[in-house]
This record gives sequence, structure tokens and C-alpha cells, in this order.
Amino acid sequence: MDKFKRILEVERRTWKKQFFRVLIILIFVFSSLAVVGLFDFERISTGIPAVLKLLPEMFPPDFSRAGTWFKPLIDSLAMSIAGTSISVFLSLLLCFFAARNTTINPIFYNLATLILNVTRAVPELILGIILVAMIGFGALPGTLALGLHSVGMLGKFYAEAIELCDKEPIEAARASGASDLQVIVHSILPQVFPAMADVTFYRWEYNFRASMVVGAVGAGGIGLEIISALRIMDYAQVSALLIVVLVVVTVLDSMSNYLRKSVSE
Amino acid sequence: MNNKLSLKNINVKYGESLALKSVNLDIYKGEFVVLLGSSGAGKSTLLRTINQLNPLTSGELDFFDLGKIRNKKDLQNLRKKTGMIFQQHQLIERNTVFQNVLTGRLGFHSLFRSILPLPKFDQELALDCIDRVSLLDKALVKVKELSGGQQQRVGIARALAQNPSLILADEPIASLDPKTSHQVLSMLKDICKKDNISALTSLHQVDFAKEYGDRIIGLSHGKIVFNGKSDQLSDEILKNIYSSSPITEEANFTSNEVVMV
Repeated sequence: MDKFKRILEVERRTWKKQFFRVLIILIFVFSSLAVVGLFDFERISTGIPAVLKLLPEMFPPDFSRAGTWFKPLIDSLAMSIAGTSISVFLSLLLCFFAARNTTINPIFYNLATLILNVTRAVPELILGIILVAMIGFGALPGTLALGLHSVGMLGKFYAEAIELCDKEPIEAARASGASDLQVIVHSILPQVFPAMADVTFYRWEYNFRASMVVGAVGAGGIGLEIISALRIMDYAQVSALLIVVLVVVTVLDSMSNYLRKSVSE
Repeated sequence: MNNKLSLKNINVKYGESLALKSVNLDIYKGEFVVLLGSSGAGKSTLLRTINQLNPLTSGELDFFDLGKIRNKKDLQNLRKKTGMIFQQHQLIERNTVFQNVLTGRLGFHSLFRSILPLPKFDQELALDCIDRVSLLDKALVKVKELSGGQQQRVGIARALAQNPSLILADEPIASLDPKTSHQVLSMLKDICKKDNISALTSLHQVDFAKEYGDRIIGLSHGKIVFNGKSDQLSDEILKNIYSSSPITEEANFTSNEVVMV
């Protein structure tokens, strides 16, 4: 059929293009796997006996020191909540400048996005090390590290939510004589609140897990306990601690699921 | 050779309430049947029960050559032979017309086969269907760039690409203006007549139903209250179809225009 020829030809070309795109992605994926040594079978095969030797040492988990873990666990939880709160506060200040539709002028926009990019670029582990060096050991430097690093991600997501919100209700609020700030509070915030709450709870979960990482560099919490047990090669205690963390993370996960659901309703 | 679709004593329950009450209905080969009824009367439920997007609680389906629908395999075959057209067209808007119509061919191929481009036969069949709804020049255009009437025609082409024995159309013109509605409905009817496809179309405009329906089915509170030719559809019967509830007051309507609440 002649009249279909051109369409079929175009469709075939589109498919070919798509195929080559996927092919290029696959090349990148497999060369990355090769670079990191996942195809180095010799090395992997020597690793297996080591794992088999280590695993029995982790059993049975040793809960004998469990009584002393409550304080660091509470510390870790407090760090995740306090750190998330700090980042929410800073993100709320920054996000309106970092969203194209609410920013005051290009200078503020670029400044705000720069701050978000910088905080996102520095990992919490590095921030933790620097802050421990500045203000000493304990939960405070850990909390600040979590808070500052989270701003980069939370602020960016908040700003994106604001950029995506519907223009019509904003126009309606403006038409009724609302000031710019009133528009933000009464027209934009109600629209973006569920999305903001959503990422915030995700971030809280993430921050609890991240608190263990910063804990390892001396910033307190349950992470410090894990790294101490690892240093003395007490793998039975490490496995017990990992079980405790798993339980807490599972509880946090269902809690944040529940909270997210109740916010979006 | 079975030349009709038969619904025998169909009951559908949602929780405690009965959405369809002992519905008996025959639709013959090539017949264009229109379904009337107020919102909530069970029009969508009836349509979706035939291809069992809604499970039926009890009753029996007898589908043209397939005969009785007894198991999953029968149902799969029934769905392959049944094209569906939706009010909100239910197309993938960021895909082209051609890609959307090709999804009508998915049921005829395995998952693995369907990842690769479909055979030339399927591609040409899809383009032929697009040609029949006069959209060939738009075949490579994204669906979101089309007008409402054009989108619904893509929906018809997708249903047609299945080579169906039956087309189910759930308020296909509800979001279109009157002129476009006529275009879409007459196009659908012409195609069904030419290909000898049976169609069951729910509408809520009585005048459209009278103009296009070979036969009209009136549904009220999950029961068939009318089943006949359009000239038998009197004001009295219409009142019966659109009565809001047996107890509460009856809906207001003029003879051939029903105000939706």
C-alpha cells in the first residue's frame, strides 16, 4: 500500500533511533560495571570464602550490651528529626527564591540555586568530619551535617513543586486583590503542601539512616556503636546492632507512610 | 454458528447493593444498540460486565462463536474480539496516533514479541483503521495535540484494529460538542455496519439514541425497563427510564432532552 509507505518508513526510523539510544545506555552501563570490577571473576571468587568465614562469626547475634544502646538510638532518632527540621526551615526560606515563578529577580534566583547546589554537592560525611573538627564530638555536629546537606535536596524539590503548581488559582487569588505574600500563603502553599510533606518524610527516613554514617566519624548516635564494634571485630555484636537498626527503620518507614497518607488525603 | 451475544440472568453486586438485577439481553450480529439510563442506573456496569472489567456475581455470557464463557482463556478470547471505546478515550497522550492504535493489536502477540516492532500485517491493519477514521495525515502526530473529536476517532481506530465482533462504547460522545458528536457517532455506526460488527453504546442524549440506535435498551436502577425500536420509545417510557428513584420525586425533563444532574 503506497499511502502507508511513508508512515511506515518514519516509524521504522523512529524505532531504530530508539534502539540505538537504548544500545548506547547499555554500553555505558556494562562498561561501568566492568570498570568497577564486577566482571573480575577471579577477585569475586576469592571474596566468597572470606564471606563464608565472616558470616558464621555474625551468628548468633550478641545482644548482651543491648541495654547501653538505648541512649545512642535515641540520639540517632533525635538527630534525624532535628536535622530534618533544620533543613525544612532553611528550605522553606530558600525555595521561593529558587522557583522561577515566585523568585524576586534573577540575582536572588541564581543565589538560591547556588546555595542549594553547594549544600547538595558536599556529602554529609564530609560535612560531618568538618563540623566535628570545628565543634567537637557529639550529636550536634551530626545534626548540623544532616540538616545542611538535606537543604540541597529538599529545597530543590520544594522549588520544583512550586514551579509545577497550577497557575489558575494563583491568578484567581491575584484577581481578588491578594498581595504577593498572600498569594504564596493562601494559593501556592495549599497546592504544594502534600508534595512538600511527601519528600520531607522521605528525607526524615533517609536522615535516620544517614545519621549512622555521620555517627561513624564521631558525631554520636548508633552509628558510633556500630563502627566501634567493627573496629574490635566483634561481628556478633555488629549483626545484633544491624538487627536493631533494621527494626527501627521498618517502624520509621511504616510511620512515615502513614503520615504521608494522612497528609495527602 | 452462533450469531448473537446473549446475557443470561446477569447479576452484579457492589458490596451489598445490586448494580445489575437479572439482566437478560441478546445482541445480534451487526446490530447497533444504544443504552439509555440516568447516571448510576448501571450503564457502565453493564458494558464493563460484558468484557468483565467488572466481575459478574452470577449469570451467563454466550459470546457469538466462542459460546459460553467458562474460564480465563475464554475471557481472553472474548476480550480480543471486543473493542472498547471510553468517554475519556483512554489513550496514551504522549504517544502518536499510530502507536496508540497499534496497542489494539497487543492481544494477538506475546509480551516478548510486542517489545519488537509488530509484523507488517499489524502495522498496515492499524494504518488502515486510522485511514477509515480519516486521520491518516495525523498518524505520526501525538494524541495530545489532537482535538477531542479526533482523539475519540483514534479510540475508534484502536478498537477497530482488534478486528472485533463487538464494540462496547461507554458514553463516547459525552465530552464532545453536538456537531462533533454526530460526526463521531455516524462514523462509528457506518464502520460497524460495513464490517458487520455489533455495537453496544451508552448515551445520555435521547435524540442521538433515537437517530442512531437500531434498538434502544432503557436501564433504570440496574434493571432493563425498555427494550425496543426507537419509535416505540414514548414519553411515558422515557419518564420511567429516567425516574430518579421509585420513591423520591421524578426527574424533570423535556421530551427529547435530558438534563444531567
